[in-house]
Amino acid sequence: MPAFDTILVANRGEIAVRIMRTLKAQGIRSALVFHAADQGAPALAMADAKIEITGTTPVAAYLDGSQIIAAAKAVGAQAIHPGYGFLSENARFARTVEAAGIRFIGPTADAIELMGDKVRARRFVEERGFPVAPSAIEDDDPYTFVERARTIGAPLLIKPSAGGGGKGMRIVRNLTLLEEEVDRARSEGERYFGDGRLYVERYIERPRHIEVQVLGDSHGNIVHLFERECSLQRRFQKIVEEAPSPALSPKLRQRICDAAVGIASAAQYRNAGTIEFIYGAGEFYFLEMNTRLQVEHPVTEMITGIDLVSEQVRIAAGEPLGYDQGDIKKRGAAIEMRIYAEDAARDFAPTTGQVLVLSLPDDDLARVDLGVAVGQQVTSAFDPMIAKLIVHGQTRAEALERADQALARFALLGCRTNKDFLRRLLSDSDVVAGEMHTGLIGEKPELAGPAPLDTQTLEAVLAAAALSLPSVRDGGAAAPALHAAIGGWRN
Amino acid sequence: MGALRRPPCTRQSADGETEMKHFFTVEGQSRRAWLASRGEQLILIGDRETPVRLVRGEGSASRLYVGDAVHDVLIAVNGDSVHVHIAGREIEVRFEAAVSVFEHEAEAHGDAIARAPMPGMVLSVAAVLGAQVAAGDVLLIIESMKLETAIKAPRAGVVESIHVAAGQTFDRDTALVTLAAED
Repeated sequence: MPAFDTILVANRGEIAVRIMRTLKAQGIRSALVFHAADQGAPALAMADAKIEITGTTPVAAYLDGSQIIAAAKAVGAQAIHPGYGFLSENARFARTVEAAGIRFIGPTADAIELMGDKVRARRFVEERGFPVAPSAIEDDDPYTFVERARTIGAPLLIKPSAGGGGKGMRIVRNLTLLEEEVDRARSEGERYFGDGRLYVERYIERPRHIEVQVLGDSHGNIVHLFERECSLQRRFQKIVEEAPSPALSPKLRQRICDAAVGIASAAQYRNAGTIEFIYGAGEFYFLEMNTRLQVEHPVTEMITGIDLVSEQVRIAAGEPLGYDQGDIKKRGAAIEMRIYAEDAARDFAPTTGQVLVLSLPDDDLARVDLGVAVGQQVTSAFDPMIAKLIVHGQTRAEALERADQALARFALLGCRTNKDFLRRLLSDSDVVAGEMHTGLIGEKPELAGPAPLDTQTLEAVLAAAALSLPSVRDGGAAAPALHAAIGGWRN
Repeated sequence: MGALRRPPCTRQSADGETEMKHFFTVEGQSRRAWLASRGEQLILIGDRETPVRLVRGEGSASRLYVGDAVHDVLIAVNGDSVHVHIAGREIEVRFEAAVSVFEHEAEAHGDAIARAPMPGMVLSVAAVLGAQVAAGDVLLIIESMKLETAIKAPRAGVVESIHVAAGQTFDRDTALVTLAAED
């Protein structure tokens, strides 16, 4: 007998589908808020109840807490799952939801607030003896901020205090550009987070991004579910994630996972959370804690067999975890590939278009967390990540092989995606060897493509196009008129 | 705009019929192909003539015969764009209308058009009509997804027209600013 009979999902795209899949499996009714821009999305087809929300922009609708709470009340939901992004790390929203007598599926508002203020979180972690990178914090003394930043020495990383997810972050290698970059970061921080305060950290060159998944219940139990490596990034956006990390020895894995459990315990953390670390030259430093379900949570599910959404719901209902650290085993290797609507060959510019064809790899090859359906328009209104492919293998090599097969079989036509780029990336010799760092993609511009077309393929695609376009196939019936208008050009 | 140069668009076949030359863009590169029908369909690329045939299967799946090769493909047509999934790759082939071919020719001839590298919104316009700019001067600032990006002059020139205003959204490849040809 579940504690909740109806849960409102306050999100969209693949994560809304992912959450509802678990709710359905558990016999919990799912209610979904949606903006009209998402009409035709698979999430809408899955929800037991749908409530339209509006806003000045589609994103604004999903950020409108009062409409969402009203929707939850209207359908009699006892809990709200915020997914990731949008309101998932908004302490005020969490507080308002709880005050309305609805359970927020996530941590306490206090924990969100602590970890959401990156500067406060950093200090909290440092004071409890966990490692953080050398830094300068603007709020400590705004007048000397730039000077103190300069003292740390290049390279530096400027971050918005209120930020997250890589937005507004800038690397400074040439200190003469420091002021200029600070100004740009401040303007971005103000625009994205309504808060221009900054801090600066020593930038670890060629670092690896390693994070640890934790779960805490409301009875003080905290466990980790091992680490994920997310070093394959571009402009701080993760592209491919895997578990376990090929960089960690068992001893180092123990240290980093222990540190994560220590930090979560100090914060009296409840629900699913992720502690992110930067790892370089044998040392790891606390980066930030994300107080929500992560995009890349499926790789952890694949190696542990634990359904993280199900655990989130149980924890929110007040149930104890019911198992110990020793009960959690990892098995094999998992890789997640994020399918983005973007054109790698055009500097990863976002792409738009209608999904005309969708063809997925078989279930036994890959798990596909999909946010779009045939006929749907991919627009620039939302984040360009539209699907995730997740594979598992007994070994990392087997997982990589299955990743390539899954990518080869995945087809989304009508809106260009990064899938060809992902195939090239995952066959890169350093990636295959597990020698990754967050700058790898930037250092290998040839990966972005376009890959050269051999004559046979070029001939084939031109033939496919010529035979598929009626105006070409039927001899260009419309062309003579055009010729007449412009003049007879003949050679 | 410079004078339009005229690419060859038609030719006479041996039996006196007019054949059309078609312009396509494949992976950002311009390609020319002829499709002729002489009992069977032939595609002509450069000097090579290859018999081609497309057999439609279920949904978007098709079998494509090109000479001796056989390809299982998925094909989606959207206006002048044909999206082809072939050998695990997605390739977009754009059919270029003659007019846009001429526009590109005009650009090659001297006009420089700063185009949108991605869909987005104009944050601010720095370019001034009639002003002389140097290569690399910032013409406008756009925002796309999470980043501010400066659109810079591709070369020196005089700002001939500004096609967008602050706050305006645009699609990829939209002409943003035109710099006049320098004589």
